Amino acid sequence: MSTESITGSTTVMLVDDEPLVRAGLRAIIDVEPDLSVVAEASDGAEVGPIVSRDRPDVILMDVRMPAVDGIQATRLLMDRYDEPPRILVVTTFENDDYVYDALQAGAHGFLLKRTRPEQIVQAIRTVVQGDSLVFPAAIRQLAASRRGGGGDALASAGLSDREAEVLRLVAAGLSNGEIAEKLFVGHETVKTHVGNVLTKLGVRDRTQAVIAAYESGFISPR
Amino acid sequence: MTNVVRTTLRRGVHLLLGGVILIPYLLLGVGFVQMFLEPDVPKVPLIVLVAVTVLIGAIPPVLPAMRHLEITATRNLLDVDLPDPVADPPWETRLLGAAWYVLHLLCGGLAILTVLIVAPLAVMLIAQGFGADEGWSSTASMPIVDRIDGPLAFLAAPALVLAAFAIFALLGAGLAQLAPLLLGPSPAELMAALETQAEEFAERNRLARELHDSVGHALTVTTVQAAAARRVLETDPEFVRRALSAVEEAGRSAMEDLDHVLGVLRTGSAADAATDDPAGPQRTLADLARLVDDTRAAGVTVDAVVEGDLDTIPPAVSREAYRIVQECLTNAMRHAGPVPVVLRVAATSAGLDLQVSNPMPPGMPRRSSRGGRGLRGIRERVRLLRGEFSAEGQAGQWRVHVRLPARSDARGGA
Repeated sequence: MSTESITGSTTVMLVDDEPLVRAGLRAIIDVEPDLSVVAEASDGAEVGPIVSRDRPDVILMDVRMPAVDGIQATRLLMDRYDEPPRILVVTTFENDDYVYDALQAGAHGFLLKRTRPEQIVQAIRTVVQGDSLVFPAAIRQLAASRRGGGGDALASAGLSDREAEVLRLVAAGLSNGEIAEKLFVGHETVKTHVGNVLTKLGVRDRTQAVIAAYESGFISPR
Repeated sequence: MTNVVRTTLRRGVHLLLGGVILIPYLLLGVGFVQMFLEPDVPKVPLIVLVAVTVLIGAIPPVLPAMRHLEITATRNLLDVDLPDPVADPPWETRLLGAAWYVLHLLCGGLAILTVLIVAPLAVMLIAQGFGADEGWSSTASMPIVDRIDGPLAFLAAPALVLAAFAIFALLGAGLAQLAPLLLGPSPAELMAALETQAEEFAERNRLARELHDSVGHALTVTTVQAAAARRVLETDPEFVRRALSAVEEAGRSAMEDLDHVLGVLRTGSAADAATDDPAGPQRTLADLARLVDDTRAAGVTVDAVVEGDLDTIPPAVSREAYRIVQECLTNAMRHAGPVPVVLRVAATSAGLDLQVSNPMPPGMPRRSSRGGRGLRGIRERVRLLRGEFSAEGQAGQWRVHVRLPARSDARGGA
């Protein structure tokens, strides 16, 4: 499951049209021993070639950019790679319509630009491990404001009771390890359940699974 | 039930008012018909007289004052909710108002006719019920009524009154139904109101977007840079130094943007209400001399020429013009330094003509995005006032030219 590169540190790419934001994020990330910024781009249009050259583990992707926005760039990477880089959408405002679109396009999580630096680096680590949600509360809020578009994709998915329970815990923000503890089962069992949920829902990531769960009303965002 | 009675009584008053206004028209009409039937009266002068009278009679119904009066009466007596009449309604609205006037008078006539028939008949019937039929029937020859007497007469009288009441209720309800159509805002007025609303909505969206782009952006830069600086405080003092200056710059430009956006917001409300917040009187072109003096005090040579009477410029335009001049002078100072600035303000009956020019420093524009934003503010204000705007550098001179129409209600709408 580890996507760490040979150097042992997680490689990060920054995509943002504002150089000052990139410089700030770079300083925040580079100071961490286990993280390093290996590439920068100022527009979604530049992302493709740079990713194929540098293969970063994580991309911090701004949403609004002049030529190609973060949603299109995310979609492109999801289409092109079997194991695309983990994408964290970075945005100024929480209720940004585009963030939701980006998450649906396949982004693995989202990050507000005002997030504290400690949480930014933690989010990068979390998204690399891939076994828990990044900022589950924020995703819930986003889903709450966008209820009702998804139909009953979940009813037809035919989840077992156990899988449904695992999905609820995933949506609550629990990691695989925490779910395993809570259900008194092995870590591998949880991974299998999560894998089954993703397959049955036809999504490639737990973030998408949770969004589908909120959209179909399977989980109520309150 | 008492509600129906009360409503019908009030509507009855409205109807009778219409009927009373109808009477002189009827008398005139009858008089003219009699004159036409009289062989001695010369026909040509009579036709002229009739034509003049009809013309005079046709004027009041289309007057806005009459419509105003009818709206007030209709609101109070017919219990119909109507919006306030506009000061200068379009012709379509006036004609509808006239149609209402005619309808009101005709229905009123019917109502008065009803009263004139029912009241004596009812009295007569009651009298006959008491057996006093002789005296009545000889004067008013009413064959049907003649044959009703005794207990039947006592029943017929209230039945007649009830029927009259029903006629009043029907006429009143009919008028109340038609009132919104004829006295309410016309489709054109509704359209104009909708357009104004849409414009305001677009304006709000634009401001939201502007706040998002400018202030949101600046705060983002500030937050990220400050956060980064805190993380590398010990290890990278050079980064911290750059971060601090970036934070300072971002804050400053955000304040400018905020200033501008708030300015537009204030203007928006000032255009609606003629009187401003008394706590903060807004500067107008009347304060131009002070502005020029202040600018001179800052070390800028200002060559100011004012033509025409600035007092003739509407306040809203004057306020905006003051801000535009202020922004131009500030821009010149910021971008070009203490250079000689030529300011020309010309007031005509058509509007206001503003020109500000100054020599460009070498390598200008240094910071196109910042300068662009200040100019964008001016352009936005000019657009709101439906004016013209140009800004360009030519032969080493930076020249801003603004033309504002004199109409103060330039934002359109009803």
